[in-house]
Amino acid sequence: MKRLFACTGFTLLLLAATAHAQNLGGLQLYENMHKITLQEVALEGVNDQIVNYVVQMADQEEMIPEGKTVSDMKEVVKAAFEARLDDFCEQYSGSFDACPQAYQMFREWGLDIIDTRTLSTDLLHIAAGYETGVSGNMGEIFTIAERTLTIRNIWRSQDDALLTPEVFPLVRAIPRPDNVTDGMFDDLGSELKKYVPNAVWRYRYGIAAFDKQPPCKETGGSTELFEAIEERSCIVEEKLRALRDALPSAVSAYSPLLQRGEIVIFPLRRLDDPAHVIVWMMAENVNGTIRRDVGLGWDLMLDSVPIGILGGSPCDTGKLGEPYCTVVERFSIRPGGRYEDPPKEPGVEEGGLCQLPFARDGYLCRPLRPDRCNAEIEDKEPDSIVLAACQPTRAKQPVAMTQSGPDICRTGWWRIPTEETINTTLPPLDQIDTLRPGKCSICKPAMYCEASCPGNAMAYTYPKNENGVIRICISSGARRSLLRASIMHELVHAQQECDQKAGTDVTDTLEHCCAREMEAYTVGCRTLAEDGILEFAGMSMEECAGSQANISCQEFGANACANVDTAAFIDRFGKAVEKWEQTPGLQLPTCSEISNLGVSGVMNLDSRILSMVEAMNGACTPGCQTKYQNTIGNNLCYIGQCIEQSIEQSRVIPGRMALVVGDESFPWDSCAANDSQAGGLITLPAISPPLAPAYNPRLLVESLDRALCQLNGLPALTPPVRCQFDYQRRLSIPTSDYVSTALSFASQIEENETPTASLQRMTQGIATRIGTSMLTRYLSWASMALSDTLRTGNRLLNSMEKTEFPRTTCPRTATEKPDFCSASSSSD
Amino acid sequence: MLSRPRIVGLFVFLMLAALGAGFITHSKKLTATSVDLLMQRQKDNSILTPCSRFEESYMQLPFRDGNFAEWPKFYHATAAAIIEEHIQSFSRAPKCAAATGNDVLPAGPKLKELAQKLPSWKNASVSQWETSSVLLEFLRAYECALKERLYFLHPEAVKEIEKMRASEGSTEDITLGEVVMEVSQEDRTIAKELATARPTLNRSLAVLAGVSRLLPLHTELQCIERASLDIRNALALGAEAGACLPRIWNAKDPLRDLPQ
Repeated sequence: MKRLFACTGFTLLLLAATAHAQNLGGLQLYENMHKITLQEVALEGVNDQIVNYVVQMADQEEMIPEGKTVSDMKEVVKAAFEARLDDFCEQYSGSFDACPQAYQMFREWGLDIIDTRTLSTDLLHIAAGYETGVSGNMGEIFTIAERTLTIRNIWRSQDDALLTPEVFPLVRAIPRPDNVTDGMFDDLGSELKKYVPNAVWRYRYGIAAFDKQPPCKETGGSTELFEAIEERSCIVEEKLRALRDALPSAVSAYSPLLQRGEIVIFPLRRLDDPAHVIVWMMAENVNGTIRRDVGLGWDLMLDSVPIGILGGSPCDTGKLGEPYCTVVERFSIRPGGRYEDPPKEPGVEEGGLCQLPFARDGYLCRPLRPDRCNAEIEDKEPDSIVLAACQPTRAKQPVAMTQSGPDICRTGWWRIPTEETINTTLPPLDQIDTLRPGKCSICKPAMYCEASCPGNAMAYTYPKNENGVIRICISSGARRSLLRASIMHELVHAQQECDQKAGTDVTDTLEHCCAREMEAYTVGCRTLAEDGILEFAGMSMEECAGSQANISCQEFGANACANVDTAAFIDRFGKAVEKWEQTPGLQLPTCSEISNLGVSGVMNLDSRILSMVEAMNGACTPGCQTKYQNTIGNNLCYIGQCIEQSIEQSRVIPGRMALVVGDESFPWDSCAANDSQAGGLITLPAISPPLAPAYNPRLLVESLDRALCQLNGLPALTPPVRCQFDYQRRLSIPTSDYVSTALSFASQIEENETPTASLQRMTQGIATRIGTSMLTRYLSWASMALSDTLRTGNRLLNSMEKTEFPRTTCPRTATEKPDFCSASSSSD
Repeated sequence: MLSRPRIVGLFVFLMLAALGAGFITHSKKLTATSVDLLMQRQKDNSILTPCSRFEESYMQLPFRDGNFAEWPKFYHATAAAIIEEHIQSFSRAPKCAAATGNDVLPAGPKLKELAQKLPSWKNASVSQWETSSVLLEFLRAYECALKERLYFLHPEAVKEIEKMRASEGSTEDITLGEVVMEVSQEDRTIAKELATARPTLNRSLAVLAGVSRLLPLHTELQCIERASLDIRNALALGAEAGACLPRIWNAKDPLRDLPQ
């Protein structure tokens, strides 16, 4: 569906048509529609485009009287449109001879072309109505993607990324900076008024796309959008650039620091004048550089692009035929109106729709997972339409394994590095024995750039030593483009070793090897996917992790961990890395550069590396600081780690047992309040992937055919036109004469026109309802887990709220009944 | 010639018939052709009232005696304002704690004002979801008023001129030419309005229908967002308390202290 929206959107955006002719940008929705209707019904408010078209048609039909020029005829045609017959005749021929015929002819030409244009405008308006909110364009009155993204941001933990098979850009919203003033928007609006709607179309994908274009040269005045699409409005560009330059340009200017690939959206600004036009602003961390952009958009796209009726040369005679092209080239009109192929515009070359923050998640901009999802399905049901199908996982072994318990959110991307972690310095490698874990952890990772690592590997993690230190070797010759992924991979191994005994080999068996490597490669491959390397290679994260795990665990056999083509992976991956390294403007540090810069070097590479180091400190260790962004997922990570830490590191089974049945394990147990059973009977929601509801177009069409026949009181017939006309009806009961029989034949179709027309009108509504019902069914399934979780959360929180806590602490060695016990007794 | 007893008998019969008729007339029992019954039905079920502008149900609309030249302006301005209000309702915060679906997004002030002038919503609450229905009902009332005006165009035109004269304080007689001109002008306006009002509203609603189909989803998402924020804040408090978990477990055991 998204593809359909986006396709229609592209059609709207790119296809050629008159821009000025339909300039209704200053009007609100109803006024806009009223104006269109008045034009269509009463030829009121007809614009110059239609007048010119009719004048040219008159020229082509040789209906311009002698002595009159084409420019003279404009006033004549206007008089016809305004129903001033006397004026028309006086200006046209100076007499009433043959004048009314010409008058009627001109009006009919006008009505015809307006009718055609109105039809296309109506369809585009309807499409705009359906696309608003889901098109991915910026600034619409509401955006479902933005709302779901906000909800996702409230719920997510940064560690969730590891469980998600797709790369979604991180998006955050922050207030507009103080130096972006209201006056700047007012200035922009006052200039933009002169260029609406062309400039809004032109700068809808942002001003940044124009940076690589030649310097601005004013080329206004185009009457058709396919010409206007190459127009530039220098003053508007200047105002947009001023707004863009006022946005923060350094990574450090954003708090928390803007991660690689993360997008910032500033509040949209709706201009007071022209109406329905908004200004959007965004910034994005592209490989450590902040790319800022400002663009225009509509909150409700009413400036639709109807068919073009003027110009159109050069004309493609092969496609349109000689006679048509003769008219086009000689009279500069496109009889009946046409959409011409638009020229390519810079916004599209730079990514166009796909560089907008929400649209880039759409199907047009995000390919299906190539390894598991395929548009070409071999074993499909005949007569069925399958857009895509996805296969289950290809992993053959466990994909993660822990020492005890789930180790919730162990990777630690959810944590913000504390000052202590950021300020830590490592001793030289030859003094590594002096290194000890801090008070908050039982292990200490130590990364060193070394000339070479064991096994000639790019990186290698040594087993934990007796001091609790885990040495990580990063080869100085490691490929720069893979450095980030390698470091993260090794840090996952360090985390796996952290709670193990010193010297433990965590990859000793097939199961262990696959589980540990798959987990580590999942993290590494995620960063490769974020960089776009996997997209170049045409492979998914699962394929990447599986193949690399196969390579790392090849001592246990070929393709031991995942059922993927490892040899093909090596080939494709190598080529993709080479291609990616040629990306212009790519600045990749070496291991030595990072280590020379210390923590700041690592931060520039990826702040999540420090988060992973931070994660080796217990989240709940008394006296230790834990920082994280306040989200539901992160809070759950924290609570989960606290529970795990309590159970694993504290002695929860008391050291005291009752002597006989009925004895209390603790003093005053009998005074304890009853267990509230909060959460005792809660079932966790089943998390299952959403399924697209069945779409049976043939069935729908058949039911429509049936409905047509039913309306005419006939059984279902194929083709349905048979329900429209039954030759036997009149032949079997002929009328008294041949003429009336023939007339009866002819009128049979007319009889059915009304039910057919009403069915046609209803079909749109019925189809909409079917589409909406499919969307509802999809959403009700897709959001089932979320709604169940919300309900469960609500119940738990209600139970927690009702819990009554005693005001006195439990006495440790009291021999007398404590107060709360008395209170409890007395209340009983 | 009738005999006296016969006359008396006839008189008594007529009296009885009259009394009976009087009794029937004054009883509350309504017959199928009774005007009272029709009025009663209309009162009970005002949704299906005839749309005459002289009906009590439509009295509050300015189509009865108002200045005719103002009718189109009033109609189009009202429709435009309500549609604009509906578009703006996307940025209005819903009442997520409402008991019913209709109360989640109550009508805006302009829609409410119009709905209360229409019989269907006169005594009922109106929701923002019902914008299209209210507007279509408003259009029906407007078209009815126009057609009714057309049926009685000549006397209405005379009245219109009289009103204009009265407002100007003029006492001049009305000429036939003035009436013809007024009739012609009103006829053109009515024809134009009947031809354009419905297509205009249909066009507007076609766009709105596309946008509005996502309004319930958009509203639900806003409510889910707020519920999520509540859960997040409650969980943040839970996390604060969770920081004490290791010590709570330790405190449960009274017989030993863990080394600090």
